[in-house]
Amino acid sequence: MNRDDRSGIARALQRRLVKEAREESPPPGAHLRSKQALALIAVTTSATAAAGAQAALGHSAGSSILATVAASTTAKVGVALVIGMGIGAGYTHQREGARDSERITTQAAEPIAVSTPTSGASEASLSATLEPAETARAPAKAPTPSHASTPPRHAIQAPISEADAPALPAIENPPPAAPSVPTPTPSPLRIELSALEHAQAQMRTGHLADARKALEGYFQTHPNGRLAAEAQMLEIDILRAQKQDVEARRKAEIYVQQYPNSPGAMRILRERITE
Amino acid sequence: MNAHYDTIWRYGRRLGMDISQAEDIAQKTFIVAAGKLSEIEPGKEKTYLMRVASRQCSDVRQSAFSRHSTPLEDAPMSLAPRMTDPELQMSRGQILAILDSALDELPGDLREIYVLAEIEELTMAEIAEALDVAAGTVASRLRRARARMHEILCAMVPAEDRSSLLRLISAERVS
Repeated sequence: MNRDDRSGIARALQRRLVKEAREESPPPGAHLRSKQALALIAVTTSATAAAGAQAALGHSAGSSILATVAASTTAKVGVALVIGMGIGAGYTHQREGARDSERITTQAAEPIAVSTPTSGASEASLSATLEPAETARAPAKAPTPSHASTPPRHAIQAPISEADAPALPAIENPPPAAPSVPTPTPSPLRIELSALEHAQAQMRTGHLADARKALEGYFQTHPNGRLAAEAQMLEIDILRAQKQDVEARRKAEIYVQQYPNSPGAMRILRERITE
Repeated sequence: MNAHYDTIWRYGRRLGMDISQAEDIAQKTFIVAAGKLSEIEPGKEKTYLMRVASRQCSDVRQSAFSRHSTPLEDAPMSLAPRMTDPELQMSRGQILAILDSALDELPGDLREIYVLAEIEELTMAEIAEALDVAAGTVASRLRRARARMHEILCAMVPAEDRSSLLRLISAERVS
């Protein structure tokens, strides 16, 4: 065999070796193991973010919109469930404590009911148990007659993912507020939250144009809203749902620049890596 | 994620890691990246991951477990024994063992670039960014790597029995 022959064969051999190398793949289960490891990291991250969010809003129990967004950033079923369970557990604990000796009353006289995200972890869940910022402790009072006719909205469910995570059991209605307690004006944060919840509800039910409209209303009413970051995240989700991928990506890049260390930015970047 | 994961896993394998080490490298790479998401520029996720993976591999190589544990019977230093195999069918593991034994002959810096360019098909610019070296350096190292690899493979080719070797190259592998 002359030198040229050997060289040609070596080249052909190299092509064959490279071809085989390109086709090699990790053993079964390797992807899953790594995703599980990432999910664990995400749980830690989200829990930290949720705790920070609660602290930021001055809540001793329950969750906040930020915390729920943090849960949704993980894009992991288990993470949403873990955070959701934490929300429920915290709420339950608070409620039981109130029954024992004293009752926690709030300006709104009732906690905001939790609605359930159902379209997967990537959808930012803005519905959360939110104890109003202005929480006060007061002795238990007799039920309010007018309140009795109001349909209760106290069922709490863990965020549901595509894995059909079981919902936490509903919690009994609390005794209604005392008649002498005046109904307070909702706090600005509650108003903001309601606006975003409305927009998200529209999105979840497929009314994307209405969701956009509701969100635009939020931005106009609250140009310096405390939940602006969450509103922008919701806007990105709506754009994605509307298949406006280019605009969604543009907004996402702006979001990451504006809030580089936020849970929402982490979610965006994580999705970018894993997409 | 899966595509990037596979790339990193293969990269680790071709840099001398065994299967579990390559899995560790890939997993750690994603965990590191998840913790530094804000540092990742949009559109440069792959090169960022490869940079992390390169450092992970470097750490492993510097440890006592830097050589991947290819079984001895699958680590031929010459193709000659294979050429005498009348069946001339080899498993992918055997074929890759040949490749790895050839890659073992390359200096580390050339091996890394060769793997990224030839097997993972990264561009020069991507390799330069992933390895944090100048594009010109990548080009010159890749040129040397290809030339050296060619010499290594030429040396592996047995002097005789050309027809058998050609059949080997064109043969379907045994899965």
